[in-house]
Amino acid sequence: MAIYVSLGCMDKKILYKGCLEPILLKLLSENGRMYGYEITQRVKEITAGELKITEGALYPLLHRLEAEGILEAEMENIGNRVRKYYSLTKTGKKEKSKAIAELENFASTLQLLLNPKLA
Amino acid sequence: MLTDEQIQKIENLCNTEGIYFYDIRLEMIDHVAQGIEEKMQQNPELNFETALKEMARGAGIYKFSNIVEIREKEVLKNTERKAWKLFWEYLTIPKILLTCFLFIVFVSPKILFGISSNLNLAFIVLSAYSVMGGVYSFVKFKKPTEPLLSLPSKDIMEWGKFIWFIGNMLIIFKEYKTEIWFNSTWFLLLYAAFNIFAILFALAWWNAYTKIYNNLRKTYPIAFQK
Repeated sequence: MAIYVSLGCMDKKILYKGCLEPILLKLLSENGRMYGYEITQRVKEITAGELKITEGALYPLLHRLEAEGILEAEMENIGNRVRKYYSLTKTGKKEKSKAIAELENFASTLQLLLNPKLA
Repeated sequence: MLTDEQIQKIENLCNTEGIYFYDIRLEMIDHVAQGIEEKMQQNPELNFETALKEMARGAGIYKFSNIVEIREKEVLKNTERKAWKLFWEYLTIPKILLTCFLFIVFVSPKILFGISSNLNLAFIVLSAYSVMGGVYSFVKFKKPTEPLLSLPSKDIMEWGKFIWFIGNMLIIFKEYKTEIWFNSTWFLLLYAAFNIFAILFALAWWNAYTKIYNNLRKTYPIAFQK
């Protein structure tokens, strides 16, 4: 996958590249179940437009996590179309805590490197 | 909320741009439709056609974009990964031990007393089983009316059964063969082992396929309707 997230500049894209999975798992854990478009909009809203998840990055990730049993999907009829909702499975809930812990650990390591006094 | 006609326009665009698989198309239609609704809500003067073009470009519907191709590859890869994961999960230690035990039971008359008639009978039964399995899987797993990328190919199962059947036929008619190795004990034992383990592998694959198939029927009921 070449691009995971779309941000203001190329460097930020690379910086956020590995964070998409924990972000997604956290969002689903907080909201119960969500659909693709809702996830992209929610991320945009929380980060005030700083982080925009592209369709090309989000859906392959959702499908991979579904295949790995981390997410489960259910279809629902919304008026004249069908919507696919994703939610965390039991494994997904455990995986979420692990992914968040790893991300926090990574952030503290960065903090140590960039600003040792604050850390 | 978009009208049926507008939803149909999105679907037609997906079809024109070669988004062939139902499981990809369905999610894309909802994504594009939701985006259009929001765009039109924010800007009531915006017409549907313009909003559709904007959303479709972003979602990668047009052929020049490789977003759909990436998604299809990812779904295909995940389908295979899921099928193999279920396959290996089925092969537990007790099942493998039971298979080894059955192998010993089948081959002991040959090893201890030189009797191989039970093996021949087993090969005949297994040949019939492989044919019946083929017919049963054809009846049980009806092809979806809409193509689904999340459904693994049955080819591996069908080819496996075909090779199994041909192999057993050759063994059954081995009396007509003159090669020494073909009638040797080691070859018979090796082939008996192949047969016993083929049953276990066929059951593992059947289990994986059934789980995925039933889950898809539940997730995409319309794709299986006539």
